[in-house]
Amino acid sequence: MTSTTFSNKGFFPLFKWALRQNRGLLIVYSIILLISGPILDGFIKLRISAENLDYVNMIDVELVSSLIYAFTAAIIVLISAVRTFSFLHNKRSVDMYGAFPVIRRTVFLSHILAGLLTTAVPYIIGMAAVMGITYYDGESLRLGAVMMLFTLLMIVASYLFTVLMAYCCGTSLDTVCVTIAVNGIWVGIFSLFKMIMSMMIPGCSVESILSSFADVAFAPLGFMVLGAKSYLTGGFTPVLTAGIVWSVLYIALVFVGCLFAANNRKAHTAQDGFSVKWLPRVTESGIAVIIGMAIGFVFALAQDSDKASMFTFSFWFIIGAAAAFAVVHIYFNKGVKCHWGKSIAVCSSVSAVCIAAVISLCGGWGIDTYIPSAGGVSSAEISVNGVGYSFGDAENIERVLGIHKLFVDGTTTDRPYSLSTSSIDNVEYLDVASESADDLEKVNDYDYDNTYPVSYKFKYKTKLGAEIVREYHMTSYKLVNTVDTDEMMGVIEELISSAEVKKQSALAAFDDEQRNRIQTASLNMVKFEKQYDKVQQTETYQCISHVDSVDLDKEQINELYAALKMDIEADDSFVPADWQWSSYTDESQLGDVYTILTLWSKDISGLYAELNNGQYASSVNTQVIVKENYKNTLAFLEKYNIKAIRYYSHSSTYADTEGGYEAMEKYIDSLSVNDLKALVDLYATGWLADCYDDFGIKLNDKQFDDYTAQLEQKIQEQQEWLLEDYTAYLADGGTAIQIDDWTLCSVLDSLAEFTQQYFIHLEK
Amino acid sequence: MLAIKNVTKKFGAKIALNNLSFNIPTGSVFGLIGSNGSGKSTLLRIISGVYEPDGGSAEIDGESTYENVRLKGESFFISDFPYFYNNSTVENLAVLYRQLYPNWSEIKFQQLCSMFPIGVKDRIINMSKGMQRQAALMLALSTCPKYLLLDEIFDGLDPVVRQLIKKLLIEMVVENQTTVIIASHNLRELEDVCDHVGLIHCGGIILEKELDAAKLGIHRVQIVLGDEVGEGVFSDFNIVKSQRQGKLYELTIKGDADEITERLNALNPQFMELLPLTLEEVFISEMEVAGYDINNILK
Repeated sequence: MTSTTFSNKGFFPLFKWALRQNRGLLIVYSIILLISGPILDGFIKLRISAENLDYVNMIDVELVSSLIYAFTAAIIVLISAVRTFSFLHNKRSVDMYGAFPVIRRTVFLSHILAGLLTTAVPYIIGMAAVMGITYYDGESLRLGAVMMLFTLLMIVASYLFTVLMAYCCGTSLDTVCVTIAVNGIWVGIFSLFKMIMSMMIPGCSVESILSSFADVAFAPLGFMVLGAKSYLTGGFTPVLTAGIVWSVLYIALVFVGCLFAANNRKAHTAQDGFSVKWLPRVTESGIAVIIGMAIGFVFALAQDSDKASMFTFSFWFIIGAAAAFAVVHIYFNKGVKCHWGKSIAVCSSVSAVCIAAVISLCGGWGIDTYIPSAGGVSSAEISVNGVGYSFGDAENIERVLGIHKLFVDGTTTDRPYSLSTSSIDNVEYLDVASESADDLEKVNDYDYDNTYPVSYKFKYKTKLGAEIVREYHMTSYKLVNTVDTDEMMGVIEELISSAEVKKQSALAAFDDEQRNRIQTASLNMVKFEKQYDKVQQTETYQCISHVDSVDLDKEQINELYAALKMDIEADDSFVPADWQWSSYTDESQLGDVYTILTLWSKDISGLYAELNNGQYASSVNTQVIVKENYKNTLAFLEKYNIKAIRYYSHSSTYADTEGGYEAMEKYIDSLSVNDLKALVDLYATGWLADCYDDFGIKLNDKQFDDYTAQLEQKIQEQQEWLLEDYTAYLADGGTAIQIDDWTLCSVLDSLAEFTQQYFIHLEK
Repeated sequence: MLAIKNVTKKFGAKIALNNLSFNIPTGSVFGLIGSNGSGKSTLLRIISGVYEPDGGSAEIDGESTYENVRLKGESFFISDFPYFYNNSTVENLAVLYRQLYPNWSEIKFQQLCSMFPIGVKDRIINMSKGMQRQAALMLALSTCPKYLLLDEIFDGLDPVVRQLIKKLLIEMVVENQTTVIIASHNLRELEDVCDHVGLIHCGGIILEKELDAAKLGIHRVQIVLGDEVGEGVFSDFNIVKSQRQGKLYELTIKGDADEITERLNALNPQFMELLPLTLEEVFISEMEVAGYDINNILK
């Protein structure tokens, strides 16, 4: 009777033997991790101190370092798996292993365990060490751990997948090629498919077709992308949880596949083709389609006309696919003697893509017309030029669906659709000669004037947990003509002034127990006329100048919350600070000043404050525009003297522009003598910005006795000091002196001290 | 007993072994001979469990050898090009084999280490072809196999080492009742050491019997007959090959030696001599019968 039971006796000797074969790689990998850890740590700290990174940027740096580790792990996985199982690809070593008194499953299990230990254990130790050294707080550690989890899943999945390919291929080179190809084909086809679909179907968003989880579903080397996404989204979402479940399921499936392949692989396939005959057919078909799509896509992008793009894409898709197939087929068949009869797979794939394209152009998938029913939606989000608001209230959901319907009605009349290259960068290349002047002007309203938002995204979460996304860009003159923008903006204004948005924007910030610091800033609205392609444009400038931060105790926070809540709830025309098309923008006059209140989270690590020269770090900050009718909030700020406005930095160059000067002049008029500190700042800035005369006159008009003369002398001293010790330069023709923020700040601090002493002197 | 039962092995469209059947008695030294590409190495790989046959089976005492841990633990296969990793030494391979093979003998290993001129700590990959074979054989013999499968084992070995190996093999057969199967084209060496022989051609067995029987079943005869003898005088004999130079006939005849002698004497030959064939001559004769001779190749 044939014994096929698992043999422990053979497992451990072979496991130790395989581990021994991987010893060199283990040492190299450990050294890489050992060296890269401190380098990454040093790099992160260097960037923090050199560039005054805040917390959000810190996450980027941590993400990059985690991705570098994950990428290194992916390379090591590929090397280790191919190396450990290279005995499958040599007839002589197949003889040796095949004759060992063990079953094939034991050879597989012993080697896979040795290989995984070689790759996973150094990664875990290295990553844990780096996290211990470079990640500073609980949140970072949690995100790092999530990243580590996905990278480990990537390591195990990729290792098993590469081994499966090793069992299916006859040579190590084929194993590497097919492993990379299958990973790349899946990601590439999905990326291009999504991009091309979004070019064809109105409303079809890259996000709407499949999530990033599906992008890498059969590309285990890409599982780390899921980790990166969890990093960026700040934790687990249902999609990421599904990603983990899928990863585990994928690992189980590939493991079973490996066991099957280990038991059934014909030993004589070593150094000779593929043990699975359909693998090269699928691979060459996949590569042909992806290369064809890429070439078609590139040539289509080069076209101006939409219809030409579609024809060009189709032509070059077929040419590219055929050429790629020929090259890969010749490689797999080890020579120019091609078996064209085996091209059925690639013909089927190319045909499938063509059929899918035709269905897409005719709107056959229903993506362009589908609007979920209000009853089936648990939340609806509308993002306007990237600024999104989420709604759970039934009435608001209906409003969002109504806006969505305006777009659907405005686009579905164009069937069959064409391949529109404009959706790639959201810019419509209009054929000016063939369109009316009205059309052009309308599009310009969106494109250049910024009168209306350009991009609109609808995101629905259904009660069944699915996510539906649609995206439209108003850069198309067709849309401009078919969608009633005024009606749409009216509904959007209703939405953003709803109680839900009020709660989301400002008041939600108080839910954070760690939020204990505020900053105030001023927002200046400046408008001036400008020529742009013979179209009169009006641009809006925003200048936000910061003041020093103020720490609040619990009582003060509650007081501010109560004041802000009353004001916001009473504000019928409330708009969030990040909404650019609000009535306050339209109504604001040249040089109007609003106060922006920024609420910051507490820095629990204490490290950033030190590294950022006293600047405060936060994962989230929330801004509230404090209007003139926010009496309670203004009273709070007055009570705690949180209203000083200091001009520095931007104002030095800003003062030199026509609009900027006018704004500042108007601002000076609005200041009282009590705002002397602000006046001093302006005066000094103007002096340094070579606009001294203008501001000097203004200041002299305020009649400060001999103070201005003394101040002028003091500034002169400071300027000499600046010219000597800093990299300031004077440009010709009265252009402003360019001085960096911190230098100017130190000058202004010095002047403020002088002013304080002057007042003490006056009081005496 | 090792039984080859209806073994068929295909490599794509090519049939390497076609319904092959024969037995190899326990404790014998079996010489597997055959033309190039006849399937000798394939058969050894099937017996050792490297290849799974497409049909039939190689069985030892009724059990298939494929994926059979116990039987493979009692067997050792040295392929025509033994494989060694770059960092393999006799010493570290011994560590592996010691744990894998249940009959590993440390005493035997030490004896062999002192017998063969090989540094156990030296990298095998850097050794000559002959030295690599010696290293493989040292390890194989140390596992005290009941079935030792050797493919072209004499290649690259100097005459002294060949003698040593033949001596060791015979000792092992005597001491352990080891069954040794040697596939080789070096028929001279096989003749020295084998007691059974199997001749394979085009995936089928042509001949399988004891070496002596194989050699005694075919004879070379030199005979001079009188002028009155006609052309058809040898038509009743099982002649494999015949050549004539004047009155001298040189014949290769299959059959019993005594019977052939008696019948040839009845022809009143002026001179007759019956000579034994070497294994190589037997091989060539049998292959000629199978249509594999130089004349056919040159055609």
